[in-house]
Order: sequence, then C-alpha cells, then structure tokens
Amino acid sequence: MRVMGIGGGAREHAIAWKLSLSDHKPEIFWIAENRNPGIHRICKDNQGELRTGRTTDPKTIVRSARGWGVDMVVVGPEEPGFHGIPDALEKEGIQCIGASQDLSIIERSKVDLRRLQWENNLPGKLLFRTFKNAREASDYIRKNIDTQPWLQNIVIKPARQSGGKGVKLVEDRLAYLHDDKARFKETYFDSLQSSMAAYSHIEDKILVEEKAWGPEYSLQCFTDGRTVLGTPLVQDNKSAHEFDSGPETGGMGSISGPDLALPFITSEEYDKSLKIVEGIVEAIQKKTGKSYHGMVGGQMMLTENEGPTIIEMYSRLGDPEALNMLAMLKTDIIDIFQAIVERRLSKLKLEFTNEDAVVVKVVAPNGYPEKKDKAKGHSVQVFETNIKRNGCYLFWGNADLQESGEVVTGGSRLLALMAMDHTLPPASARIEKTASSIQLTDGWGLYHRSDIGSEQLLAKRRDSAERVRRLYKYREEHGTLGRRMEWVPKLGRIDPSQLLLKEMHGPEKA
Amino acid sequence: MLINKIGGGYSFVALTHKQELISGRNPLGVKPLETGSVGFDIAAVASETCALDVMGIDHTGPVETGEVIIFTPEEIRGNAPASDAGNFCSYEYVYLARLDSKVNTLPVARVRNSIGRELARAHPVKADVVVGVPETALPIANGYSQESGLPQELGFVRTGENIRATLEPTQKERLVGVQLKLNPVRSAVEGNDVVLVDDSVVRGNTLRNTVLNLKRNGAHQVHVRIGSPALLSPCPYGVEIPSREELVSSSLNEKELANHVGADSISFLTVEELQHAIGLPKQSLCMRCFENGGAAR
Repeated sequence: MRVMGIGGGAREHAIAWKLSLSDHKPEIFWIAENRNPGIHRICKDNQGELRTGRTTDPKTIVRSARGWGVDMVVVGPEEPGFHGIPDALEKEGIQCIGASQDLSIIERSKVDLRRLQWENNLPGKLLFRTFKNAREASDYIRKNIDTQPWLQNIVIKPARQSGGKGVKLVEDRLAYLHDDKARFKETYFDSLQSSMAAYSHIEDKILVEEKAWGPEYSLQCFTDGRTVLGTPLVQDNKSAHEFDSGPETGGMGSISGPDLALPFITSEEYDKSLKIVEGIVEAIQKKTGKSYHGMVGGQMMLTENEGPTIIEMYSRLGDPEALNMLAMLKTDIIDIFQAIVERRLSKLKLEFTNEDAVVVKVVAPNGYPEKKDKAKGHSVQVFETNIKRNGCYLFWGNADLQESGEVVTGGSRLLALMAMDHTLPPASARIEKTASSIQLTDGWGLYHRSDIGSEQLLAKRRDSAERVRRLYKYREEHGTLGRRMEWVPKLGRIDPSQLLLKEMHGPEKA
Repeated sequence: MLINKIGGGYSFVALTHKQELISGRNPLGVKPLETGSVGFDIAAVASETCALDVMGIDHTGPVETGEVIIFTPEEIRGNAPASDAGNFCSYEYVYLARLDSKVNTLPVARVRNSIGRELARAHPVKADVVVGVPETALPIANGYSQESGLPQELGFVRTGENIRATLEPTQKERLVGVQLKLNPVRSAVEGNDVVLVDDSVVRGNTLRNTVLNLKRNGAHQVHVRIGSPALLSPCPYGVEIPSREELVSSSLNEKELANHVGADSISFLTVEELQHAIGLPKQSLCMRCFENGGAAR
C-alpha cells in the first residue's frame, strides 16, 4: 500500500513515524514545502520519496499523488485543507484523510465557529461580537460598555490568522488604567484592520470575545463523519518563555498522560469536552452537507461560565500535540485511517498506553517567533546517540535538508524532543539532559522551555483548574451554567446572549 | 419657631456680620449635628464629631432635634429642643458616619460591633473565616467574629485612593472602581469557606466583583452577610442612595441576588434586628430606605 503525506513540520514527522511502524508496511511518500530531514529519512527507508512543493496548490498535490499512484493521502497542516486539497484529491478518486475546504471553516474562521455554536446552542461557547472595521468596534464598545459589562474584559482577535497579528487580551478592571486600556483597544483595532485589509473577501475582520481564564488543553479526535473518537488530552504551552511569559508561539511543548485526561482535568470534563467537539462536527456537517473524515480538535479551556469551553478548533492534529497523542497510540494508524475512509470508525477500538506520560519540548532558534529572519539559515548539528541514550525521540520541524547533507534552520520551530516516563516530571528531566545535543554550528542560540512537564508548572495548572472548577461547579449547582445573566442598574436583568442572538439573526430577517 | 414649621431632614449653619454663628437641626434630627469648643473663646459646629476631634476641638454635645443655637461673642442662646423622640438616620450607623464618630451620643464603632454580633446571632453559617469588606464593614466583621467564634482575617488591601464606591456616578466606574479598591489577600481566603461581611448592598456590583475575586483566589464557599436590611427605596431626605431602579434588592430577592453575585448564601439583617443592634427605640430611627415606598415626614 502506498500512502502520501502532506506537510513538513514535527507533526508530519510524527505521522510519518507512526506510518512506518504500521504492520501494513506502507510505502511512504511525502510533499512538504521544506525538506524535513526526519520525513526524508522515513520516506527513503520505506520505499518512498519526499518531494518539495507548494502544499496548498491542488495541481501539485494531485499530480504527485497520481504520479506515485498512492492509495491514500494524509493531510498534516491546516492550510492545505483551507485551499481545498482534500476536495481536489477526492475528485480524482484518491482517498484523503483531512477536512475538506467547507468543513475546515471551523478553524479558518473563528467567527463562523462561534456562529455555529450559538446557532445550534452548543455548550462551551463564549460571547462574541464581530466588526467590519476598527471604528465600528470602537464605537460599539464605547456605546455599550455600560449595558453589556462583558465588553470590559475582552479578547481581540483577527477574524482570520493574518500577518502575525495575534490575539490580544484586554482586562479592564483597574480604574486608574481604564483610559489607557480603552485607548489600547482602539489602537489595536486600527492595526488589525490594516493587517486584515488583504482579506477583502472576509466581511467581518475583527472578532471580540469575552475574556475567560483557566487551564487550556487540546482534545484531538479522529472522525469518519459518523463517529468521533477522542484521544488523550494534551496541553500545549503557547508562550515562548518559562512559566508562560513572552510572546505567543505556535506551541513550545506539550504534555499528556498517563491517562486519557491530564493530571488537572477530570474524566467528567474529558467527556464533556468530547461531547462539545462531537456537537461541532455534527453541526458543521449539517450546515455544509459534507462528511468529515480526518482529524479534528478542540482547543479548550475550563472557564467560569461554561466549564469546558472551545477557544478555537483544529481541522487537523495539533503541532506539537500530535506528537503526544501518536506516542501514546497503540492502535495501528493505517487501521484507523482505513476505518475512517470506510466509515466504520464506530467498530474500531482505539487503544492508548495508560502507563506512560509524554512530554514534548520544542527547540527554536533565538529570534523565533518575532524575528524569524534572524532565526533562519543556521546550520544544525545533532548528537543523535546522546538523544537515544536518554530515551528521547527527535522530530524535525522547520528545518531544511540541503543537497550537501547539511540541515539548516527555517526560522520557525526547529524540532521537538519527546520523552516518555511513568509520570511527567521524569520525562521532562530526560529531555533536559539531552537538550544540549542540538546545537547551531555558527554559535547562534537555541532555546526551549525547561518548565514544561515540571512539578512546578503542573502545580500551577492544578491550582488554576481547581479555582475555576469551583466557580463553574457553583454555576452547575445553581442552574446558571452557560448562562450570562447580568443585572444592570436602571435596566434590570439583561441577558447578553439573547442580545447576541438577536444581533446575529437581525440582518438575516431584514 | 420657624424651624418647627420646616419639614424634611436638614441641619444648617450660618455666620452673620455680627459675628454670630447660628446652627440648627431639624425637629426629626435625621442628620446629626455636633457642637464643640476650643479653650474659652472658640465655638464650633460640625456634622460629625470626628471632624471636631481631628481639629483639636473638644466635643461639647449634639445640637438636639429641633434646636437652634446662636453663638455670639457675648452669649450662647437657643430654644427648647423638640419634645419629639427624633427620627435618626439608621444608615449613618451602618455606612455613612466615620468609625471614630459618635452619632446621637452613640459611638459608631460600638454600634457597628453590635451590628456584627447581631448578624452572627441571627444569621449564623458554618465557615472557616470571617472577612470584612474594607473599610466600613471591618468593625462589623469584627463583631461577627467575636460573637460566632470564627477567626477574622484581613481579606483585602485597598489600593489607590479611598473612593466611597456607593456614591460614584456611572456603572462603568462602579465596575472598575471596586477592583481599584480591593486586592484580595490570597492566603487569608485560599481553601477556606468564608463569611464575607459588608455593610450594605446598593447596586450589587461591588459585591459581585468581591465574591468573584475571593473565589478566583481560591476561597471555597462564600457566604455573604450584610449588616443592614436590603436597600429598597431612595432616601426621602436626600442621603445619596440611588433611585429604586438602581437598587439591586428592589428587583432581585435574596436567592436571585446570591446567584447573581455568585455567593453560596446571602442574608441581610432585618429592620428589627438592625434596630435592636443600634439600641434605640424603633420610633427614633428612620428606616425608610429599607422599606418600600417610605415617604418623608
């Protein structure tokens, strides 16, 4: 059997690794934008080939898939889905594991995701409001902040990931900072508007959501459109530096195990999270009339108002979360993919180790994430025996294998180190022992987060989970879970969610 | 006398070109008025005794209800006070007056302690610690602690200026105002069931933010105990209690209010309990803000 993968990051390296361990002994072919040294080696060892090309171009992908005569294609990252790669492949009669263009909107458009949740009254949502431009956002907030108190503490997001402009949290609780915070909101709206200008086809450019706090975690699932199978929860760490400081990154490392849930998430919360993801898969299929076959994930947070809550959706596996999940996966991955294609996932028994916890730490060149040009183009040296001796695994990320055999940094996350042990802290310690095995030959620095998987960081997560859990449990006991009642002087009781629904439905009726 | 013909709750002070100081308190005596002297030559009048204290003026006694006192360089003269028992503002004892004042000869600190004790007797609850909302409710929490035997913890530190939250104008300022004021002392509340004592509930936003803040800082259950009855009506005598539609208790009952602020229970003193705690006869106290539709006399 011939399988082709798409994408050149650590997540795809891990998928290739699992494919290479399958009893079906597939021949492994790959298309990525970079020559990922890990994927390159796996392809070579499994009668296949890694070819570089544009992973968002349907023609390139279809041509290669037909040329190689592959039986199945696995899509790693989100962008190929956004560009309709699975649709193009299926049109050619090639089986594809990956969300089609219409379905991937749950990740591509945060606005559509929220609308989907509210239209279907699904649990795990946040109040939101969208704006066409900066002025509309500023005016609306100024006008309504007295009557809709949630507008004080908000998260501002670009409606689509754009030009490195990310998520900004603005908590306006301190009177003496109120004016500055209001000014900041307006300035950020302005800069979002200009960076979103390129996406002229998207009407709503700015998304404002109620700010929530609590521990975050990812629930990745396999689905064939009928059944959604959950995998072990993984917690990624988005901040660049120790103890959640520094700029937002694609993810600096992740933890999972030894059970399905994390040490600070209950199994009840796991079940609820799975129901939430199932609900979204069902709703988006109903809306688009398409069948979802591939991977789907919820980036979740425990929140005061809702308990398990969707922050964003993945129309694919997470990077690096995929590494944790795949390391724990005992079921043959080809069996899973075949069951997805044949729509018989309900009959498949998905098995995971329950003995090992997994820690993944991303190693990135200095300069990532804000000065990628500085982080790019450095030659990498790896002492593999040292990594193996410590029982660690290396997954290449944004690295490029040259003709000379030299590996060069791409400017983004270079690679991920993974270790397993009975609990998280010893697994974390193994990686610490081996992190110096990776160096840049020109002396340029590399960094990673030593705190991921540490007892100290776990204690912090546990603490915030317990505090937020008490608050949402209170709501559960008092019948107000998921409700947003406010009592506003002079207006009396108002329900911002009713207001939101009215605003959502208003223009349609008119 | 003219003063007996003018209704409402007022006091006045006037200076004349003849070096006279004229002060008077309405026959109901809703608002306090106090006199003092310095040595042999200066007379003083103030709305609260603490103002006299901090100026180094000896407190000589209250202006009685319906009394007009005229201080001249030659003499002090006045009329006979009203025979009426008066109608003293009970909110003075609960919130308005400063802790180091005496109002109608009663020390405010002692009354607030007694309010706390009454609250503990009438509205007990199982908990680990008692925490008062600074500043007004601290002595009430103290009384609650003494009566209940639960330890009192200092649960908040105030940051910034002392803004009296009740009197701020807009909802926005109210919402942010409380955060400016109160930063929780995490070690005092973490892992504990807390009795949170406050003096009164006006719009409920202060309370909501405070309860939420305690829980976000690891408090388990939070039981709110309020040292006065629910505020239901604005003050007919001009004390700055907002209009009815701004008073949360005029539209939410105790259970709804507990849900709204996220508390595990909430109890107010009743009108009778407050009167008992102050220790003055019922007819001498004005409680119109705690009643529905109380009109001025």
